[in-house]
Amino acid sequence: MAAAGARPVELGFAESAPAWRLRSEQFPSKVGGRPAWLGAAGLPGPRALACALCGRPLSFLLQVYAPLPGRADAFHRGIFLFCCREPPCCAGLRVFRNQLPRKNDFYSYEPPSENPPPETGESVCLQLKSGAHLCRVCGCLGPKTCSRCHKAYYCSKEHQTLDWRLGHKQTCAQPDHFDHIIPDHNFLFPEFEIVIETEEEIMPEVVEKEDYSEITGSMGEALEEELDSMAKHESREDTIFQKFKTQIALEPEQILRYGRGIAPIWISGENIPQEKDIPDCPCGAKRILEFQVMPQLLNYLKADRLGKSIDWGILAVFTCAESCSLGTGYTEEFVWKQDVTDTP
Amino acid sequence: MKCRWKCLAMAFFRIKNQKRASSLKKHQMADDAGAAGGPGGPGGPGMENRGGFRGGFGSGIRGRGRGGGLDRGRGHGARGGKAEDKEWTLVTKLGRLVKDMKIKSLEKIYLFSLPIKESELIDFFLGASLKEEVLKIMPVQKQTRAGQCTRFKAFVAMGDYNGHVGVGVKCSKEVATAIRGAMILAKLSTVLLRRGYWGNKIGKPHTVPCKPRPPLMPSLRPTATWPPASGRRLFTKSPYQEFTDHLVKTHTRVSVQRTQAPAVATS
Repeated sequence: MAAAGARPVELGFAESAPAWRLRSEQFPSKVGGRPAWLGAAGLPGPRALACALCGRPLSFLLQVYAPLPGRADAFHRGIFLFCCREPPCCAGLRVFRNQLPRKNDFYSYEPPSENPPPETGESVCLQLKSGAHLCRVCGCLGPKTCSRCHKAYYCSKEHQTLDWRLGHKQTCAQPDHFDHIIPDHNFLFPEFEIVIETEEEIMPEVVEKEDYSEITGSMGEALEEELDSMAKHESREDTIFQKFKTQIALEPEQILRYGRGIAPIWISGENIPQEKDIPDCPCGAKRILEFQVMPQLLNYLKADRLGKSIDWGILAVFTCAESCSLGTGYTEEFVWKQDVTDTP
Repeated sequence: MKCRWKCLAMAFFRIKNQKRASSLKKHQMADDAGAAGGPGGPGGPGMENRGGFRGGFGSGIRGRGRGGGLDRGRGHGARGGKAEDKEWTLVTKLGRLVKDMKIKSLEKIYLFSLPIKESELIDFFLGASLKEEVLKIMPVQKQTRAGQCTRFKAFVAMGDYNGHVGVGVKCSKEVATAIRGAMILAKLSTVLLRRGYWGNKIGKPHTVPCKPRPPLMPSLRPTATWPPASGRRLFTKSPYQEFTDHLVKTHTRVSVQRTQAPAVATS
């Protein structure tokens, strides 16, 4: 087993949380819902957030608030993961990283309050501090607007059509409508907060010493060979899969394993990325593994269908080793998807 | 505002001094971050400034709903590391569909030839009626420079008494590990037996179509050498053997009702 050095792995678990805790001001790590953008400038545009395979807008999957201690320019740092959930594609993935120094234009120097804000106000805020508007459906940058009322913003034609059918058609014509009630477009995933715990060391199991001597030697040679040929032997895929299950068995509900530079646990022997598969950062530094998303997250997303639906074995996110800041915007990083093999 | 910040910092130091066992893990992380930065250190990320992903001040102060997790953390030591067997967290898409009751029976999975990778699925469908039997533990030896390395090869058969059987074989340095591994493989290799009638059509189908050769398919012809006497232990428990016994004994082509079979097997 590859040693992770002195750094322990941090595990993420999904927990329900009140909505105010999952807003940008609280610097959350969350799953689903709308992205709680970190920096309000330089957001990835609709073209960056289009699926590379089918062209449709990606859904926000999760974000991780992962500051780097000791780095003034990465005092606040967030990594945002997007995925395509529309069948038949269900395959495109993109990940973005954003970091801010402690003194910035968007957040106060002081830590946020731990208490809920007194006024409930509007449930969803669709405008960033920088003035940019967010899409009503997906919460990403929404440069397009409804051509009639110019008050509803969208990131793409698909979302505009979706919202039109689901209620904007009625409210658009009314003058002075306050469209704060946003219907459920069935585009966003259910929202959870990611809670972090450090992984414990796996304790060796107590092996029971039973006496099996009466069983040995009771069958003839020919029978053994027959049985051997009929019985299921452990294939290499089985071994790797069982090893994966053992490693997660201590905390079976983990959805995330975080650790910069750790060795990931793979779910299959196929499709393991080599050095050459992971592109270098444009700044020149190599990319290292930051965290991996586990398949247990799909239990919470409730997106499984009998036909094609979003599915993965492991999503490994690789980020720049130097955590370079190419501008104040969102830089794209690399994500590798490993599926559970289909072969029995 | 400054007072609030100072209060927060003081709260952390108080927590550090108290060293409450229940939140020791989380607050240790907060402590580390704090120790690194100091209460008001410029440049260094203090605890209150979310320096570091280590749960930082987020999980530490808020007293998470992970109270359940904390209990579970302590529970691990108490349980000795054995996972609960009622709460399965399944990893494959098939597992999730089964858990959501979108796939209702094992036969559907066989029908579409979907590979079963998790043995918990078999437990889910067959549950209580599943019986496992260790057929044999065979020591196998490999010659190494330092002498001989002995490992144990375990053969495990499992089935419910209603048409599902599986056999698994696993080799390991310890007997218990080999048996456990073989049990999982036996579950993964479950097949559905085809049953029909041979002779009288009384009751439900009960005759297995087979040839004399394979070990788990009992022969219908009394002259077959199967089962050998040493294999009696498996087949006295299997319903298929009950019929073979009967046929060997009586040489007649009478099909036996399943309810009558135990009486026959004991004779």
